[in-house]
Amino acid sequence: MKSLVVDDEITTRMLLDRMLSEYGQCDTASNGKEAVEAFLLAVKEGKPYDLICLDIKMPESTGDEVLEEIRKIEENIGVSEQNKAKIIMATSVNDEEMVLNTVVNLGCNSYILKPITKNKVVKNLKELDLIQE
Amino acid sequence: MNKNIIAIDDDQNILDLFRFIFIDDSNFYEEDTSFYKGEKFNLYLAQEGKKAFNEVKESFDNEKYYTTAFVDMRMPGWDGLKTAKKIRKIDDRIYIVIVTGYESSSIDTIQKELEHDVFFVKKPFNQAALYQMGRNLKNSWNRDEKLRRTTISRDYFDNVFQTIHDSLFVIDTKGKIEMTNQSAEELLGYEGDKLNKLNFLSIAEGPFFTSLFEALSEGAEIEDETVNILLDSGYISDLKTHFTNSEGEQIPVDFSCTLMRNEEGEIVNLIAQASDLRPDLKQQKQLKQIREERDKSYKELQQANQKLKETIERANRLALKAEKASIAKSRFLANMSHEIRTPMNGVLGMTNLLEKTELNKKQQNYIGTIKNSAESLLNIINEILDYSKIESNQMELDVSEFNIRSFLSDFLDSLAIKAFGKGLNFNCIIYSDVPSIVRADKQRLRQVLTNLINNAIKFTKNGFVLVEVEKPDKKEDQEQTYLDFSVIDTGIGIAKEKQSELFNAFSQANKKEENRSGTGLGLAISKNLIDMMEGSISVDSELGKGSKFKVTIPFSYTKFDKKSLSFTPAGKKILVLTKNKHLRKTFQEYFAYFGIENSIIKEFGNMAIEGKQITDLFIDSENDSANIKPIIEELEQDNKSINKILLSKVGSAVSNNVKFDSKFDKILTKPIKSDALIEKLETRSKISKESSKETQTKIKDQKGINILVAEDDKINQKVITHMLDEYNMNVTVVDNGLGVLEEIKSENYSLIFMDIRMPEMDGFEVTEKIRSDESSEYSSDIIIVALTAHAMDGYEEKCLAAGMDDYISKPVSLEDLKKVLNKYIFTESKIEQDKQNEEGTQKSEIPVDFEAIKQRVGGGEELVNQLINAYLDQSEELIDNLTQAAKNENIEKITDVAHTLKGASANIEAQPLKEISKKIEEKGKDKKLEDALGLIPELRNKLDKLREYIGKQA
Repeated sequence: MKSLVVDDEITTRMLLDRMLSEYGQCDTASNGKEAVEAFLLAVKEGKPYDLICLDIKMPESTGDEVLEEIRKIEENIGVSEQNKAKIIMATSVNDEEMVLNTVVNLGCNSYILKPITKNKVVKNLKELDLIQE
Repeated sequence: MNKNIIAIDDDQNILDLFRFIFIDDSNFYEEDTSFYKGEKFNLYLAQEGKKAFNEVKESFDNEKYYTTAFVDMRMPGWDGLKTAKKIRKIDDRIYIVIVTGYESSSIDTIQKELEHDVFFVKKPFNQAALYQMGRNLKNSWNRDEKLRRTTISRDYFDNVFQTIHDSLFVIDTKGKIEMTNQSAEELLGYEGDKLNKLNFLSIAEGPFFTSLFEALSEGAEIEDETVNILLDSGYISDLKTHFTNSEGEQIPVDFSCTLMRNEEGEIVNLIAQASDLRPDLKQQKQLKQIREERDKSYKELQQANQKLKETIERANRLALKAEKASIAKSRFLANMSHEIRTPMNGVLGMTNLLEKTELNKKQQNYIGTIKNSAESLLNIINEILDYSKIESNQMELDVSEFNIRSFLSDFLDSLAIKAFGKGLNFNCIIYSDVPSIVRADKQRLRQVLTNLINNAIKFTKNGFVLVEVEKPDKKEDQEQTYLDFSVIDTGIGIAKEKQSELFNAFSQANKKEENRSGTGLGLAISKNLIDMMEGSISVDSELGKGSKFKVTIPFSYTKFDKKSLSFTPAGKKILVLTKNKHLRKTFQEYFAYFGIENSIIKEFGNMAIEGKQITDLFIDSENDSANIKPIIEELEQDNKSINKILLSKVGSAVSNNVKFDSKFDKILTKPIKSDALIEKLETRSKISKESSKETQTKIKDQKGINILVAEDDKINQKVITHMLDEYNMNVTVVDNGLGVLEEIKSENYSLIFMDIRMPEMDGFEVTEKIRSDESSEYSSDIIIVALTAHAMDGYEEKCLAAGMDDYISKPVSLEDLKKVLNKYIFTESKIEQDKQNEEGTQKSEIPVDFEAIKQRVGGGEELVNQLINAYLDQSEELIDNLTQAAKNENIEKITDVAHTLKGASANIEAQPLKEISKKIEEKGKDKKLEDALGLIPELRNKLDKLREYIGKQA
């Protein structure tokens, strides 16, 4: 499982990097621009990300914008529904409404409430069929 | 001649036979001499009905018709009857010959269905006879056709003749009228065929006509030129002449005439045509007049309509303007009142502060006056504010659940003090069947009651003020009830004629009374509030005797459950002694409410206490003190440890009779409050409180709590489980009602979140199954919380009625979920404790919790170090950003940075930093720049402490 962690805050990046590295290559990006670049690069190499963890609140482009852009790119290059990257939005409690909006309208697959714990991450991965029980 | 016939039979042999009979020359049946072949037919053969039908239809469209159809009765597909009917639909003239192989009983039916011209031939048939039949029918058809055509042309002629606008006459050579048309009859004023019996000369006079008929009938030589022209050319036109009508009037006509000759050239008929030359002046004039009148009235109508429209528009504009003005005025008033209130708070606050400084008597007096005036001014403003809010529809009800008994005791004391201060008796009787937990807007209810009680106290000089709370209907097991709140006084009363104006704004019934003060809005506001609560208010009063104001308000309430009362009256025998009958009633109702049966409530002085062995004694301070001593002594002889409680007016110093103090164990203040009453009755041990502590510890361990979520929507499932993850509980999800029943059979759940709409079995049904479960297959005390998308009033009741404990409306918010969990899973104190833990009493002392990080993220020492170093590096940068943002007073930026810091601090389990960042973020969100800035030094301080701590650890 190849994953990408996008967060402007370093400890979250480190934590997720650590947790996800157990299951395969994990890259990190600290803003939306880097995230999209990394995503494109991975696509070009023919090894797209299976999972992208996106922080919803970032300076410059926000998580939902990045989400929208990634889904647009996938649409344009004709990625089938099942081959699209699984995207988990990471958020703190008070952005919940926004997250629900992204879940329902923008096509993210799940979300995770900060602070991040190993249990939450593993549970999400299982639910998204990225790892086995 | 039309010789077309069609034969339909599924048997090719029969069709061959038809061909032979009607077409072929070969002597197939030579021996039959009568067989005659004189005439050829056009024969069409079809093996099935449908094919025959298509042929007939196509031919018909091309104007080729069949005279006869020979139809076999029994055929696959369409049978004979159906085929015949279909064919007849195309062409009704066709003869149908039904060829049937057996004596069919359905001949009548066939005859009926096909209506006419049906013939039957039985198989096997005689060929000659069939041939004859075909020939006859063919001839018959052709004859009919000729007739039909003649009829058609005759009809056609008649129609034309009759509809021609000019008058037409067919006349024979002698002048006899043979035929006329409608116009002719109308022109001459004759009805029916009367005209036909007349001689044309009686209608048309003059030399021309006389000569014409002379010439025609007698063949005489005529000198009239016109007649000769007619006779020569056979036609004459545009002859101006006059006809005489049935009234004898002369009608000018334009006359034309044609002669009709027979084949031998003899004149047989004369066809005359006449058109009316009368100018239709009168009619035209009338018509014109009518038209003019119509136009005129139409114009008038239009004008009237226009005016009406304008008037309506203007009225609407005015009404709208008026309404807008009224609302604007009220809104202005509301705003102004609010604006006034703010400085008034300043005045009052400062006065309070000033009061506490060192002042001489005089100054204290002045301050007292300022304070009183300011307070009453504030009251007036508040009333105006309320009234204008109601007027401008800004007032909204805030309904919540509350205990009506504690609610009343919360504010009755302050009112009672006023009453007692005036030397009035004051009691509040709450009848035992009044439910405790009700739902309503308690602020507004309090406002109404306070207003009424204040008025009662204000207008009563001596006697009493009594508040009664009653449930007018005695039915139980309802979820909705009315409650009556009566405020009864023995005051000045209100004259009957003034009572109706009472609830109008700005009116005060007792205008001339010295007591007059305030805005006069109080009752109007109360009335409006009561209306909003869908209740009613009534007054019953007699001048000089007193008043009773009764407010009736609907409440929804939770079913009254006596078990929920913590008090057990076992072993108690209570004696209450008071002269006041209201007080006695108060006690009586409270005892009934608490289920205290063993009690004696007596009027003081009327002694003789049965049975004695009194455990608790309530004595009213109003009682004659001289008599109290012996009673107590007597009772103490019987029971040394008797619990003696003095009933004393709230706010009054008890010490006015020192003897009381020494004799009594406790004091209960009047008006009596339910919880205080029970407190006085309870023995000194605090059993109930301790037991509740036990239950707290029992459910402290959240890991053991199983929560079941029944929800079929995937997104909602996710939302709820994620939220519950926060509490670290065991969460199981099922997506239908049957799943719930199966789950709770095998596992022990504390709480179910239950969607109402689910496949298989809906939430109501599942709940009912669980609640009515007699085999105790399910634990029936499981808490069920409905998840409902119906945020409507009444749905809640439906959920509760189904046996659910509570409900949350979708979309589910963390806040709602928290509330429910707090209510049912954690006790209240537990939450408080949690909150404190969270917000940092114990944990906050440690700047960072290494163990917690390891546990949470499942990593070792190394990771922790990495994380903390990263955190520290990052926070340098973040603090810089924050300082910069603070300098620029950029509140959004401050909020964002604080948010990031909060998240990062939570990641490394640095609670103090998390808390302070959170506070800054919250202030930032509320746009409180100053407050946010004020917290930044604390943030720095906490960060320094963290560094220090980490340094020490290393």
